[in-house]
Amino acid sequence: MIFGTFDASARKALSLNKDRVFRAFTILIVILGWVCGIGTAGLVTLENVYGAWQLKQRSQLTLYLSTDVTNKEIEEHVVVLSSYEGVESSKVLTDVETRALLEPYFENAQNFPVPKVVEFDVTQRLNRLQFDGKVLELFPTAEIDDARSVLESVARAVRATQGVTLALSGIVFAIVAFVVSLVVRAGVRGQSKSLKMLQYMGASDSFLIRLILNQVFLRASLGWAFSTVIVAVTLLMMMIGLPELVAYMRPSVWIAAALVPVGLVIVALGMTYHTMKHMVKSF
Amino acid sequence: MIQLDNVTLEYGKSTRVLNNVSFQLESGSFHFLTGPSGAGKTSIFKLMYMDLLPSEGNITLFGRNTKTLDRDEISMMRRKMGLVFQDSNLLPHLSVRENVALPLSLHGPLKDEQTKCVNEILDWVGLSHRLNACPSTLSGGEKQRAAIARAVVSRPRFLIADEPTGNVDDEMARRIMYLFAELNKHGTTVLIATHDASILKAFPYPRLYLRGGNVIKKVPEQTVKRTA
Ligand SMILES: Nc1ncnc2c1ncn2[C@@H]1O[C@H](COP(=O)(O)OP(=O)(O)OP(=O)(O)O)[C@@H](O)[C@H]1O
Ligand SMILES: [Mg+2]
Repeated sequence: MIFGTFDASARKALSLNKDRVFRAFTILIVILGWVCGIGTAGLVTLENVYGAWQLKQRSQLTLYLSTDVTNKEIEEHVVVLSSYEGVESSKVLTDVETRALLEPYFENAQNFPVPKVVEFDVTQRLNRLQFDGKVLELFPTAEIDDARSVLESVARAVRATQGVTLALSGIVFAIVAFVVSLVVRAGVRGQSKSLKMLQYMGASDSFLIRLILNQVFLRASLGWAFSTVIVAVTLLMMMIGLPELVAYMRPSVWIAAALVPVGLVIVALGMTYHTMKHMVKSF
Repeated sequence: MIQLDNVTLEYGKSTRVLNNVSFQLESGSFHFLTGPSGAGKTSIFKLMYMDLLPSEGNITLFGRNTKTLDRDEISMMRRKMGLVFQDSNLLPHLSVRENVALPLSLHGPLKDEQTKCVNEILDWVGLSHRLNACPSTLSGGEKQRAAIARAVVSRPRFLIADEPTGNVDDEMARRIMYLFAELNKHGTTVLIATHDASILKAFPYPRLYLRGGNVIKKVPEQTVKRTA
């Protein structure tokens, strides 16, 4: 055991197990560990989904040209634009395709003069400043749509979600710290006579602190193990229920979901140490 | 080995229990501490196991002034001592055997020979049939015997016992005294507070008589010679 091995009599002499709140502590860690684990898994999955989507958006660039531009002009200029470093491919949409694209936005797309649309697949290497300058030089009335504003608003939404999740995790950690300090304080105070007797026999502060740390560690890690199992089951169920998520549930999701609740164990131990350090000196 | 120099103890401002007490217990000695109820016997013990510090004066224990010890040093000193409290102070949620094993458990899980030692000492005080009993089910005398077993199990260098024979019959009192005498023969310094006249008569060790905050040392005519 990381805090030392103890004789059964010592463990029994100063034992938090008599405290009902402490026995419920394992369940608390299971529940809060699950909340934290799922929250983390959601956070990492969201990050993966967002990253993939962002990559796709960034790699597409659409030019909307006014109806008076001739097909010949387009063909010539697209060749020029395609020669830029970072432009992978280009495609001039047919009128039918454009109509289909615009259908959702215009009630009567059939009657509209259809603009010319050119789609480019681009990479990060593309120098946008130069490219955009060239576009406007060739097509003074062109509109460049690169989903930048959509990206920004989605990014804001994603960050907000992550912020809320982090805040919730913070609250969960605070709850654990609070409950631990309460349980340790009440548990030890309830056994002040035992603690005093152990001190009279020569138990050092560090022995008494380790004795309690050991118990909290056992309970908390048991809770962590349980919560990890439940988190795994929940994630598996989500993968079955939402198959489109499977691609984004990379190992990082699983590792994060298992590791972040370890933080609860660490917080519990830290708080126990802090509380006990004060408690042993007050007797 | 244990030395009190001009020790004064006050509880609060008004109650002075000990007034300029000085005496010395040589290493390997055996003394009784007597005196009327309320004279301050238990208070002297508390000073010795460092539950209290003297208001004035100094106590030297194993060569160290108790006032200068830090918390770890105090625990280390206490591990060399065996304490029998006036009220037996057994932990109610531990069995008799676990209570007695407790001083040994401070060093980790009990080794086989330590477990044997626990059983032997419990046999000695006549509790081998109550090993797993809960202290609340013991008679007053049985509690006291369990507490004595707990105090001597770690073979302390200094044993202090506060009225250890208060609740037992003469026969058991004598057995307990022989146990203390045996420990003393093996080098343990012993100090026993008692009112028990028959014990005082049967075991003529030197006495420290406490009265009015002062200690008077009395040596009975027929002093027991140490054999070891
Ligand atoms: N914590 C305390 N606060 C105030 N007064 C105390 C405290 N403890 C003991 N006293 C007083 O100090 C005096 C000595 O007490 P102590 O317990 O040392 O006596 P004693 O010699 O052991 O008596 P007894 O033979 O009855 O056990 C008593 O008058 C007692 O009332
Ligand atoms: Mg007393």
